[in-house]
Amino acid sequence: MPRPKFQTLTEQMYYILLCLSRECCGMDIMERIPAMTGGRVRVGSGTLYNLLEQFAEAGMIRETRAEGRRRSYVLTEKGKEALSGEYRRICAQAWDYRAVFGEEEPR
Amino acid sequence: MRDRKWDFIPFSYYDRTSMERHLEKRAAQGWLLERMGNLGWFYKRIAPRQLRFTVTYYLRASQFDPEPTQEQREFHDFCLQSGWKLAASSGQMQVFYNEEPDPVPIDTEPFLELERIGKMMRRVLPFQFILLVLGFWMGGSWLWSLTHSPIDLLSSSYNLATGAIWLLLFLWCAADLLSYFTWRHRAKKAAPLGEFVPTKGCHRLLLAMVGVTALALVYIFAADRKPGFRLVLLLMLAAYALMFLAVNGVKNFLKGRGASRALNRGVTLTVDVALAFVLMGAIMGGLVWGIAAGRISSMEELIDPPLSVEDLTGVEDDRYITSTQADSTFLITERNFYQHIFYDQLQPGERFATLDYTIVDVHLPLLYDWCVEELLHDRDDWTAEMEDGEEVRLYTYMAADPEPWGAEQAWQRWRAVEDAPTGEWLICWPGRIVVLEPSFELTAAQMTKAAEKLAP
Repeated sequence: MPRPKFQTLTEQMYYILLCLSRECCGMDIMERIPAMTGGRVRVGSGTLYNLLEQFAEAGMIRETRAEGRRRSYVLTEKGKEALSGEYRRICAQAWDYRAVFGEEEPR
Repeated sequence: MRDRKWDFIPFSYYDRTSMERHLEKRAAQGWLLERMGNLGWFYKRIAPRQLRFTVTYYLRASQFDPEPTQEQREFHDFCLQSGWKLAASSGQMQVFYNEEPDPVPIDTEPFLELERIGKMMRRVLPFQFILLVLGFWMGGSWLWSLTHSPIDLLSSSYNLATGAIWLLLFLWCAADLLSYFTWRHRAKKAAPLGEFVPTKGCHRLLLAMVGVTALALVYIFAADRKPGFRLVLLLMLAAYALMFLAVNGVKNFLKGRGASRALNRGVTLTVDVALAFVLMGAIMGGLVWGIAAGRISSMEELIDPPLSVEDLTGVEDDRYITSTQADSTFLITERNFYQHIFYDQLQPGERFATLDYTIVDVHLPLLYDWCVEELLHDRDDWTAEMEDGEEVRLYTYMAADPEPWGAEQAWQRWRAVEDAPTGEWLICWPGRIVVLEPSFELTAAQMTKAAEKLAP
């Protein structure tokens, strides 16, 4: 059976939603994510464009402004829930890691 | 030095990887994609360099859009922000290039690409399945005919050429669908791991099909000797070309005038359907008129019959007419002659002799036995049900002495039920097979005379 959409978030989805905790336009996200992750996560322009559309359709973000072809978005309650759900999942994974390896720094 | 270039490579619509590699190769040769049209891709000259290309699909775009929508332009802006410049687009297909050696790809989530290509292919697949079934049916019928009645098939340039096209169409559809579903299966498995799977289409096979179709048309055109048929073929090709030009012309004209997508699509499709009916109607009407007026002949050729009733019986009668049917390819030439008198010219109770014979010249020796087999069994399906319910064949060939014919082999047709010979013969000379069906029993002298006239 197919998994419900956005039940879990990929790394790119997670950071896009995280950026949208504050209102910003799509193209700004492309610069913010590498800055936020030290260049570790890169989101392609097509992927970002598609995900913004799908998040908006799913009610996880909403459009706040449109200046010409620059549209701005912000996270909705539903988006926040998805983001915090993903955060808890990542924390649980980190907790499990520590339970196995203790507090040592991962190599 | 020319600064524009054109090529035509029929890539499968989903095969982004092959298209990207091809465009990168062209850029390294100094050609940058400028425009994509129905007749191929068009390039402009640039300094040779390493460019990265991405072929992606914008599903809301349509070939009937007068210009890119605001949303589509926004998508282009997103791509430009990360260094991807739009090279060309055609309908949903968008081609971008990047001058950076290692740019962030346009697509970085494999499941999104899988979803997008899946949606795009949902529109293409029904047509491809229809072509597959059509190719299977027509190509299969062709193969069945090849094994059961090779003479009619291999002696007709039209049958020979169209059969090859249908078979290739089937092969291409099957290979392309298999290739797509294999890619989709692998991509589905790889997507959760964040991996992209390169696509692999069958454009070489499709290119071979286009080449064979072009060669087949040239062959039909060169080989067909039936009066007027070349003109019909030319008119049909001209009709296709006219339809192609008219439909594209209407579409581009309306795009230029800024007509909406719905209006453009509606008008273009209406023109397409109306023009198809008008042109096909005109060609069919012309064909019927041409045959009725004697300008076009589908059956007869001006070939002198090598043997006549007069040669065999010595009886001259100017009411005799001979119908001729001839077909020829580089493999087999088949000629049939039927000499008879129309019934409306006969007196009541008048009896007359008729002569029906077929000459098959086999130009490729390995087909010879195959043709003999076909002729030996051409009436196997003529059966009758006996009183005890058993189904028996009405006719069979029995080996006969070839000596009177000066031939290598000869058979005489027998009525199987009565176990009695008919006056019909199958005679084999080197490279030539003749089925001789006079309405009267041949004497030894008549056999010798017929052999003189019919032997190669």
